[in-house]
Amino acid sequence: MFTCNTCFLQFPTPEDQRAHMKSDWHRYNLKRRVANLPSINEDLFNEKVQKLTINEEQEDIAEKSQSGNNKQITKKEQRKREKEALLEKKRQILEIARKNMLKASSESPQPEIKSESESTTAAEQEPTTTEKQEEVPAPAPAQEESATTKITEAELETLTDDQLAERILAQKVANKVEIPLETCLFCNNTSFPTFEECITHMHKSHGFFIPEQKYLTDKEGLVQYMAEKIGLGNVCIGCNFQGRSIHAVRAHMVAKRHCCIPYDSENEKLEISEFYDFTSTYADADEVEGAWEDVEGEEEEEGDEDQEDEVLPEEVSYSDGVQLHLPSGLKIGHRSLARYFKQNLKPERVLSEGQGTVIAAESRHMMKIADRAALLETKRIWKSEKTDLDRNDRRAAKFINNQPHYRDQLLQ
Amino acid sequence: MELAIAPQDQDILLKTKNVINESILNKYRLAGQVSQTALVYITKLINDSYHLQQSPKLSTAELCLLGDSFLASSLEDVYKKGENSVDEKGIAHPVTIDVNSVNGGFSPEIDDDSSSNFKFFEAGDIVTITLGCHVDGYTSNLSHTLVIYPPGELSEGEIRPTGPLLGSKADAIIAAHIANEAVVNLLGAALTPEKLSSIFNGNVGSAVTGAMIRKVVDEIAASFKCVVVPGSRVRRIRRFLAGQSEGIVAEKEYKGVAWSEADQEAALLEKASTSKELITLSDKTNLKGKSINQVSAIPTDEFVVVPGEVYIVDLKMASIAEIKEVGLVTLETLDGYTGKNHDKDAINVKPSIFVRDFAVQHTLKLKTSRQTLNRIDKSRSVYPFKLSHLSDSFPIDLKKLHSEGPAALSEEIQKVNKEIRAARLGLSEILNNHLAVTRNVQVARFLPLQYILKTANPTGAHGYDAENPTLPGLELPLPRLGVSSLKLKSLLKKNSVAVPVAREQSTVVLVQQGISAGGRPELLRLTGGSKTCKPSWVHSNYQLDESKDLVKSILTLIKLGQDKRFGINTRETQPMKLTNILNSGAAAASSEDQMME
Repeated sequence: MFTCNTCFLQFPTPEDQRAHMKSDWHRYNLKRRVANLPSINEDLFNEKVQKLTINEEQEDIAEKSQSGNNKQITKKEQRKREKEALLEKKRQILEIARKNMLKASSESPQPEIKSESESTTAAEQEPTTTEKQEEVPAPAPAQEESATTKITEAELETLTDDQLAERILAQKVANKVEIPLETCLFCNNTSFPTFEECITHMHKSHGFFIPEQKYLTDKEGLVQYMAEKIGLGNVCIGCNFQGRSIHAVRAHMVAKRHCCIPYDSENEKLEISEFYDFTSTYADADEVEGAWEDVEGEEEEEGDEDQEDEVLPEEVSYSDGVQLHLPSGLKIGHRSLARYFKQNLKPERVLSEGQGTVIAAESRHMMKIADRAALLETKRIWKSEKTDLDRNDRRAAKFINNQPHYRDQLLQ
Repeated sequence: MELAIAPQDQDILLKTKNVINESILNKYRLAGQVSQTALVYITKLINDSYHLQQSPKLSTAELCLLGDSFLASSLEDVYKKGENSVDEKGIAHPVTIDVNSVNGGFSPEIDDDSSSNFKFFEAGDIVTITLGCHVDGYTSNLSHTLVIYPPGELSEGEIRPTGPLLGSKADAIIAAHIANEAVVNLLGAALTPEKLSSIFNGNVGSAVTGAMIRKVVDEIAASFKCVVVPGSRVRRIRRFLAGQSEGIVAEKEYKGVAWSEADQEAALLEKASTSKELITLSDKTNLKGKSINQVSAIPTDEFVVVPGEVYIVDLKMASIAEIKEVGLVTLETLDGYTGKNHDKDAINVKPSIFVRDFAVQHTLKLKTSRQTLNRIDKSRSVYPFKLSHLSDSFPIDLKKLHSEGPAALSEEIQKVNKEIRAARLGLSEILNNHLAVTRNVQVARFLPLQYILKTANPTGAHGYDAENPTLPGLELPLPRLGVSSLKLKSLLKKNSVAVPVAREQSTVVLVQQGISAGGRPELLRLTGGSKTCKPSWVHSNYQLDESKDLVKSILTLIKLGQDKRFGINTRETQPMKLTNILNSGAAAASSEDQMME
């Protein structure tokens, strides 16, 4: 008798048993047995299989419409795809902006197009007032917004660039969250009675520091700008990270401690420069900007010193871009050239006439500078030869004792 | 080469500054006069202490120091101020006193106690004094060989030697003297080439060439059974290029005849074989792998002596009459490292003359070395130097010395001695890095040919002796037999015998027409000549064979040199009066004393 203990079956021949053992049903039952479940009969199994295949087919079709891949999509992959889509969108926007710019430059300057192009280029970072005005009379695209999320590339291509830009902008505007001045930029809906209190809160609990407060003229404008950056553009103020929503961006900023206005590079300073007024500092600009170092004052200006004194302030006579010439005759070199001033050069060799004559009559070929590499190579070889020699000496020293009847003192 | 001179500067330094004019001639004349006077001074010192025995015996080191001091102090006050002042002037060749077989470079330092050899001269020695000085690079060198006689006898109110020197030393002295005179006159004949055909009976062209000079010298040497010692040369000199750095600097446009072992080899082979193949060396093998610049640095005999040039005639002769074997004379370098040698017969000397090599650049580590190098570069120009030249108390005050006597000498020597020590410390690093090169003391030795022919030469012709640099192109001493200098050096140790060397060196300027007084072309003999370098009383068994054509021509040549009116217009530089130089200070001091009283 040939049996299958899992499926509770009997077979007349061993061939039948073997065929059964290879079937999917048997395998399924084995798995159930391992899981301490009772085995099922063949009809039930076939039913189950049928159900699953229908499900799978459906999923397959759905998947194929998206990616054409019938593998199960992991979360990671999904995120990656989303990111790619986002990047693609960004790229399109940039492309449009570029085309617009080119058009604007080639055609006669039209203010409308210009403003549009400006707004599109800066769509993510600088939503300006003109932008808003444009969008107010066109609320219709907001409805389309849900549809646009599923727009395929084929559809995108059919649209003109302008239309596309408009659509993306409209999408942004629809998602816009207005953050009032009295509300914290980083917490969710924590509002304060006054603007100042809000600022202190943001400073204390989030480290929102406003640089160069002394010269700041439009504090509200600055905070408003930051609020728009977060609310409309969903951009981190610290690193320009593009969030999917305002929540994402807030979470990012709080988690990464990006709650401060960057103020290091020239571009970062220029970005918020419209809220500042530095005119009071222009008088002593040279002092602030300059990082000058002392160079030995060898050459002294003679006649023109006095003239310079009259024209220029006392500290600085004139600067030729590389050096500051002081009225005292000192020259001050710029820090950027410090490596050259620090050089310890050998003084130039002055030959006497006799030495010059001998050198002039010389026809030997001395080692040239070009041979330096070869010289280094030879030196390296000499060095390795010496090391080998030393090693051999050390080894030979072990067998230095040649006495026939030597008795080691230690072994006595 | 890292150092380079711009082509236009090269032109000025090598060409323009060498065109003879009145001011340059004056500088040459002064240099010649000082050299001549220094020779007279040293001769007087030797005569006083050895022949007349009026003063205690002076050692070689002391003689050298006194001679150097004389040269330096004589040039101290000339061309000093005004628009004619010159930056560089002084000793061009430190005084060397070579005894017998020493070929050159023997000038022991005052603190050198290792060289007990040749400290004092013996009767019968031949002593070669070599010295030189320069004013603004215009150089005059001089060598002269004296004989040290046994104590003489009084005749006619003067002490005179009892008899002439005989033997091989005498042969060498005579050969050197006659060869020197002949070559000087031959150079003078280049000023008036129309006389050449009458001298040589129309056998030669209308110009004096290097080959002619060689022929004349070789003929004279052969008549006295002498050999021209390797290192002899008749060469054109230029400003600052007076052959002081031969072997170190490969001088562009070298013009001169240089004798080497190869010439003796050729002569020997010519005698031995009938085929010419072995004897003629193809020039191509010699010049292989050399650039054009270097080619002009290789001496050949194919040059023409042109008026307006300055020549050094430096001939060394060694007599091989007493040696019955066939062989050649070559030079052996004396052991300069330890000053000690296990060979008891060997001569132990430390080399004391060094030449700076300006092409080498190296930053020295020791402070003392850097100071020493600075001193050398500032004070010694491009000429050979001794350590005593670098000390502060050099030159020693000869006027004071001669008024006070020998006690003052030892005091001065002590002072110099102390300062040499610091310089010696610095010098070792300089030498190790090849910033300066040692001029070795060399001895002439005769090596029988059989040892050369018998030797195995497994390394072939590639063993150049770095210690004794030669002129470019002469690195291989025996090119026909393919024996390298190192091989030759090793053969010398056991098989050779020392041979005495006589040396006569003089410097001549070939002044063209229209420059000197009278407008005639003139042979200006800066050093040497019948008055200053009078040959000692010697007698040779040999004489010039007048039946030969060449010898006849040589005799006519010498006669023409003596004929003031129709011969070669020669002018000799005369030495200054010694009493004026040495006693003026003393006289002034004594007159001051009188004033005080």
